[in-house]
Amino acid sequence: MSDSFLVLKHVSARHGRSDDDTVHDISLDVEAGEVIGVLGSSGSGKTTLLRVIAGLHNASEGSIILGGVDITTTPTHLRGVGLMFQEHALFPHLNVSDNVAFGLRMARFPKPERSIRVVEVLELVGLTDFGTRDVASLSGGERQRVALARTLAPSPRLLLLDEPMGSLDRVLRDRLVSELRELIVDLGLTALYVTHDRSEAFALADRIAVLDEGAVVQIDTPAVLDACPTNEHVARLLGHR
Amino acid sequence: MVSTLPVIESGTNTSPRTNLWWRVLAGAPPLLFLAVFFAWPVAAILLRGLRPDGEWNLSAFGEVFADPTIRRVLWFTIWESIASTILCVLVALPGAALFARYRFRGKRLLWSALLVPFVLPTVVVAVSLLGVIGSGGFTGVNLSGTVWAILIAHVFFNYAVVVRTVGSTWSTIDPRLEESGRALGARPWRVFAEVTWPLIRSSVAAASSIVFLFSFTSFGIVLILGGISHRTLEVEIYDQTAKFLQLDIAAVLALLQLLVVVIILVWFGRSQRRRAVLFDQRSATETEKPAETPRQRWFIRSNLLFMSLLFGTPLVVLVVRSFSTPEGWGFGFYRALTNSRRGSTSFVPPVDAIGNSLMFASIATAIALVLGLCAAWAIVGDGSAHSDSRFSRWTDTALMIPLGTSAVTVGFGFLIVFDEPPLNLRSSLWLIPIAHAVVALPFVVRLLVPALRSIDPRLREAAATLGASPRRVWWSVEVPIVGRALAAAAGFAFAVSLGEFGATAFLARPDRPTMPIAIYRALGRPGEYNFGQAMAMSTILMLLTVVVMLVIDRFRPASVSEF
Repeated sequence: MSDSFLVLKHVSARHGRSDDDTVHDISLDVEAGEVIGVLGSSGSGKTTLLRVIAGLHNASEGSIILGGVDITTTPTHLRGVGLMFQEHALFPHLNVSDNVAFGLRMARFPKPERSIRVVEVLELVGLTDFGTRDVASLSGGERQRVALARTLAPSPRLLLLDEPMGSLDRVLRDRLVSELRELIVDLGLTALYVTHDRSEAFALADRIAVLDEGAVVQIDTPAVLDACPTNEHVARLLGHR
Repeated sequence: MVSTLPVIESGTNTSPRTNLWWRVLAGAPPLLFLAVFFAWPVAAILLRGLRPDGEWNLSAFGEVFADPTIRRVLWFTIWESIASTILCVLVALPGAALFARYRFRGKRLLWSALLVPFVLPTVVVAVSLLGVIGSGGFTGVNLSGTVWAILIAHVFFNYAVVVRTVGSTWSTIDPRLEESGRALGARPWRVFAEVTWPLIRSSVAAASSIVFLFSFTSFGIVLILGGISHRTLEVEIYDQTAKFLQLDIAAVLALLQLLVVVIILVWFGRSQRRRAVLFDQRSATETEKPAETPRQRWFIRSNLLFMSLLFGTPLVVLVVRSFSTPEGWGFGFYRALTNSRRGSTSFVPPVDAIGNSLMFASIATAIALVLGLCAAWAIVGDGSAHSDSRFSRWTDTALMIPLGTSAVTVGFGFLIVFDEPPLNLRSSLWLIPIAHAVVALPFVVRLLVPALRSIDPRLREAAATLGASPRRVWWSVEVPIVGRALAAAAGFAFAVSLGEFGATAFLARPDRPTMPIAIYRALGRPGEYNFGQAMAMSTILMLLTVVVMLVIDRFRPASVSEF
């Protein structure tokens, strides 16, 4: 029995009726405070893996243990896991503050503490005066930060990021990745970061899990991964010729 | 319906089975409501026609078909609806092209304003047209009692259906397709025939079948404008019941009408699936342009002129004439609404009808909204891929059937079923708002379903990961987002109830008329003052409807589908 913070044991899940984005027999140990990059091309099952951990998708086999508790069948809203979507999924009917406060409201934070926390988190992501803005008026980078603030506000035990830079341009992306890394380390968060972008994974992760056709083919620190990729697919994904 | 984010497949934590169970539970109230207040009355009519004395007996059919008067009615109903449909499509296609291809001032406003004639009460439109082309009308041409009056009224009502349905499809066609057609040497009309038409054909078919159904089941218009020589099945059913007390014959006619409606709906469903051509859709802002040549400016102007003539003339003449009393300009006709004049036989002052109408409309709106919300949720589920199940499609279809059924059939069915135990509601005031809710429910569902569907499933998922239970997801994410569609649906239901005439004609008690009933009664009495009262009451009803439509427009979500 491993006593890691997050443990996946032989987790399998099918997504829809197609074979795409299926994951099978994934086992993974994540230590508290560790940032894992999940690297894979589209259809490799990386998004499905995150959704299974978040509880948005049922595992057909295996079990998920978070902080020593089996959460395999726990409904999403009781897992205390923060998930940030690729397209951010900001609530269009709420302004920036209310988006950020949503999770706090669900956790029944008293109102004064709620507003303090919202200000705090918005400051953390560098959007101090954005509280009353309409989310439709935000730029891509701002939306991304609001989504991050919303995810961080209820202090999730585990942070899941699904290609959070996916819709941003290169320059902005590089800046935000390093900011995000600092933030995660400062807050001591445990995180899984899904991406198809090698440089993002290398910049952020302590360890990188490479996914191919729904299975983990290699998991190592960036240095080791770069030095000795386990097979040709991994090498190609890393940009080796 | 437009989703701002690309759609991905989505699963959920709740198993499909649990999800389905909740949706069946949500779908139960609206389906039960329709079973009791729609299916039962209609079934009762069928039985009355097929088993008049408790035994299967089809002799009533023989009687009906042997009667030359009724054969004429049947024939007239069919050709009148085909003529209305063809005329309406011919007249409205240029309008669709106008909205699809050109940018001009006031376009958005006009697009919304087009809905006003569509929801105007039939009785109001009939009275307005009488003011223009009736005896002593504004134009001096008396078309009252001719088929032309009926056709013009049907175009008045259904113009918006064709323009909005076809126009919104047309606006998604890349103009470069037409341009390459022209570059390849096709004259303009050939470009239309060979490029544009195949792409808009299925939406023309969709609009046509709606226009056909509305014209086929047209009641108020034909009753008031058709005179004694032009009668549709709908009017005949009403007369057989209310005037001649021939329930068996009325039942057979209602059965025939139902049969045609079902055939049209089935044919429509089939043709929709077969004919639709898939093409790359452009957003409307890419495909529209301002008029450049004099010819294009002329096209825009003549279209606008046509619309103002078609809609403006009757409505302006209505308002003007409601103020022009024999004693000169003034509120004479309006004042007359408040008292029962000597020699007039109404039981109550007509002005009471305003209060009745508002009360019935409020109750009907409340019923239709609550049931419509349940139904929409049952149809959409949690928006995930597996939500689009057979249950979903089945519920959807079941809820649309009342849209194609005549209101007179509903009213007549209520009359047969609810005047004896177990549900004796004959003298109850509830019958009218319930009947209105049956008529309004399909509209409410049609407005809410796309709004619920357009909610990105990831919003629900984001809420769940932030700790919202399914119930709280519904309350703090879905309801606020569909709030605007909900307001629009409320306005639509209210307008539908205000103007409903066919079912109400059967159900209204003499002492509790609605506004359309009061107008019809005033028309039925001779004398200038009675006609004036009808004008005045129609003006008030039109204003109420316009106010409701303006409120809808304020709340209209950007992404609501057409009808």
